[in-house]
Amino acid sequence: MKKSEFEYVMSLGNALGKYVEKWIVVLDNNIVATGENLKEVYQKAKEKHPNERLFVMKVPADKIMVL
Amino acid sequence: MRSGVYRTLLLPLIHICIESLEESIETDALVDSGATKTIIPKEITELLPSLKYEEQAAEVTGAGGIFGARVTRLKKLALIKNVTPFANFVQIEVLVPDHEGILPYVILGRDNVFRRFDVTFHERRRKLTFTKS
Repeated sequence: MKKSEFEYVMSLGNALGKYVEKWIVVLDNNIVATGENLKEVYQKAKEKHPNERLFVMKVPADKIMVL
Repeated sequence: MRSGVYRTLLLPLIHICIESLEESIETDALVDSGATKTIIPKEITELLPSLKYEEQAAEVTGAGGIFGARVTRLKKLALIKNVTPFANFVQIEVLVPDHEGILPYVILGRDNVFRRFDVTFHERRRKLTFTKS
């Protein structure tokens, strides 16, 4: 069964730690762009993959949260 | 961080797709029974420039304080399991904070998802279940 981009990110575990507080753009189980400004990061990824629907996510810090 | 382990994955997050009239984007969302409304981070909505906003603003009270928000309507919000949508919410009203950095992800509040599903978060099994109510 094909793993979705979301499941791929969830499976990264500790490896996700280096992206904390950054936006990541994921396509076909690869992180294709990262950075602090989503619009810039997304546009960079979209230029390379204009016809694909991209998965974006901000990796939240591992801290106590009350929403 | 405890014991060098990145633990954010234990949050009740789900894969979603949101659509405006002309664009769509996939992202993650926190299923939050403590939120009364569905809220989309401003950063995400900037990738959906065809969204139209209502004139009337909203005021949102969160744990971190009060922030202003605008009201808009998504063409569709889909919940996704694996790579397949299993629930679509069409023409739903959502809030968008006035500023960036307010939220790290979409918040799915009790206004849409919880009206259609009983939601259970099995933290130790890292699993979210949606049961049609």
